Amino acid sequence: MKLLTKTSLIILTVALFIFFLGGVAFYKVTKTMIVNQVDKELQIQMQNIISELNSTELPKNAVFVTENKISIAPVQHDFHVDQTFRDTILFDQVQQRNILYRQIEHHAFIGNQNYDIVISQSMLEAESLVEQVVLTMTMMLLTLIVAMYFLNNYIFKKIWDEFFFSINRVQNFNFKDDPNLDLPVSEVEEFQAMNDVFEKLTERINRDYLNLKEFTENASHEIQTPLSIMRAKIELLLQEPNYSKKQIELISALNDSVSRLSNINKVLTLLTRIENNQFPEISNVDLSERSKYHLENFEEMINEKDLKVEVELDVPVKKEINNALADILIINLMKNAIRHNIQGGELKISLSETKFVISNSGPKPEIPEDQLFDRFVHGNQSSESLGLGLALVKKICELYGFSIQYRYEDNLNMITINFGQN
Amino acid sequence: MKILIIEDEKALSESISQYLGDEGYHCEQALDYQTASFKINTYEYDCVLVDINLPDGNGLNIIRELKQKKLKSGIIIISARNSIDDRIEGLDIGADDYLVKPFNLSELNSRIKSVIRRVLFSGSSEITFNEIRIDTDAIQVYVNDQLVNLTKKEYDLLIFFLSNKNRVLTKESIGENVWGDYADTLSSFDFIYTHIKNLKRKLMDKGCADYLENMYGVGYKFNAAGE
Repeated sequence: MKLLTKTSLIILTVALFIFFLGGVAFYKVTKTMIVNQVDKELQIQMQNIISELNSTELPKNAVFVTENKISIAPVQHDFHVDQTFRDTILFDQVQQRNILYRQIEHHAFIGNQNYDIVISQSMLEAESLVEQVVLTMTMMLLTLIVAMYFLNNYIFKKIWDEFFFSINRVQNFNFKDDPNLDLPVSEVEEFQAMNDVFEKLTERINRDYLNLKEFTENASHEIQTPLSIMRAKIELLLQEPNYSKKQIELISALNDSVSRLSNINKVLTLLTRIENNQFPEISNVDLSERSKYHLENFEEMINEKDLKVEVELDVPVKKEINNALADILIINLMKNAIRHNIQGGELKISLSETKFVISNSGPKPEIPEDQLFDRFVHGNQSSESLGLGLALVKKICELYGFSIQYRYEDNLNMITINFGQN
Repeated sequence: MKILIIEDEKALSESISQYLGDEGYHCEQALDYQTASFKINTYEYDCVLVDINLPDGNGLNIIRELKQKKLKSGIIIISARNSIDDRIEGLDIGADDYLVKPFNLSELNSRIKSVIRRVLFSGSSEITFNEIRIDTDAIQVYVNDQLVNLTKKEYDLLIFFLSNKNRVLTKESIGENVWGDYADTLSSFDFIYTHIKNLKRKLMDKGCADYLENMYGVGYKFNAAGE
């Protein structure tokens, strides 16, 4: 639920409740006030009538009834009644319907005769007044709700604009493009607090990122020298004469591990350098020509595995990329397709202006598909593979905005690179 | 043959010196820029190995000094910096080759021989070993004067072996020699075996002795004594 909807609903509920209570109270108060007013008028009328009657000689049995409004009737019994007020419904001749009346009744002793005087006052006007009041109230309520809706929307757009700007900025934030968040200064205290937090957070992440990057760079660089020495010493050690088989095997194991370490270091350095965009030299590389060249280099291995090769590399496909990275990309894909191939399997390579597809026979890899391009992921731990080849391929694709997909169908492992708009 | 090794890492410098010493080179070491500068201005060397990162200076300046003297010595850069800019600048100012650390001593040895051949003998030299004769100009190999039809990689491999006779060459160093810079990204050397098998067969078909010896899975050795 949007914040706007939520606040609007709360305000609407409270407003309705207050208006209902207020309406009822207002109705009651108005009504009481009107009744009181009518009562006062009736009282004054009664006094006027009584004083009028006192100064006039009235027939003993005379009964005056005028338009249902005033009735003066002589009564026999002698009792004293105070003024009483009451509501009653009488038939109105003019309106031809029952109408609420307010009545005042008074017993007066005039000229040795008791009279019962009743004055009735129509409440028609009073009722319509109350109706008007209620109608006006309702209109006001509706107007207020509509106004509130538009006002809320306006405020939401106007004030929350900054909020959405900040959110958007943080969402699209990328250290590599621009390490500064550059949020605008907000007049709203809460938004400013939020922006400050965002700024501090990104600053810290940025710092950590740079530290980590620096560490990786330093580590891989500093590891190179001791590795060089280790490799050199092992080579010298190997040259000593008269080793037993066991000794050679020990040195061999040592050599394998050092080589592996050295290769990991080299590839990680390469990955870091690609990430840091340290391959700025871009030329118009003919991928089909490079593919043919590298495929030739794999000839011996292809023959060894007796692979059936099917290539579509006739059309020159030129892309603006780094020469060395193009080679690394192609070599790694080919090596991957050959290494994980089966004896007598198929190797298919096709290149077009839009995509590069390489597929090979073989079982479905044990690695989950979504991890295939991750670092250090390999199906078989004991294999010579470092599990970095496809990570390199992916990194290079990312650098140039190519997308890469893996698919398994018809017993073929298929890797597709889409060149996109490049 | 005199070689100057300009490398601040003493352990590495000594390993190089030892390996090359066994090859019959006379090696001298310079551990810093000052010493290196003094040595190149005092003596003459057939080949100079230069590390670019020196504690008291940039190795590239050593190359500039060497070039100013117009001496006929080969220059090989050995650097931990695998930057293309460095490589281009180094080769631009007159270095003959560029090796990135960590490298194999056998590879270095092979490169030195190649540079010396190019620089000192102007590249027009023949490599001969017993029944094997290599014309490096025509890139052709003869066994008992019969032409052997080798692929480019097999040819490179043979040169590499002949540069490192009687040395145990690890699979890694062979891989790097054959595949150059991409070997490290290949990180698998299962293809070496095939290459060597083919080379061996082609040579022996022409009556060449079996010089290539497998060393318990570590690598191979060109056994000059034959078997």
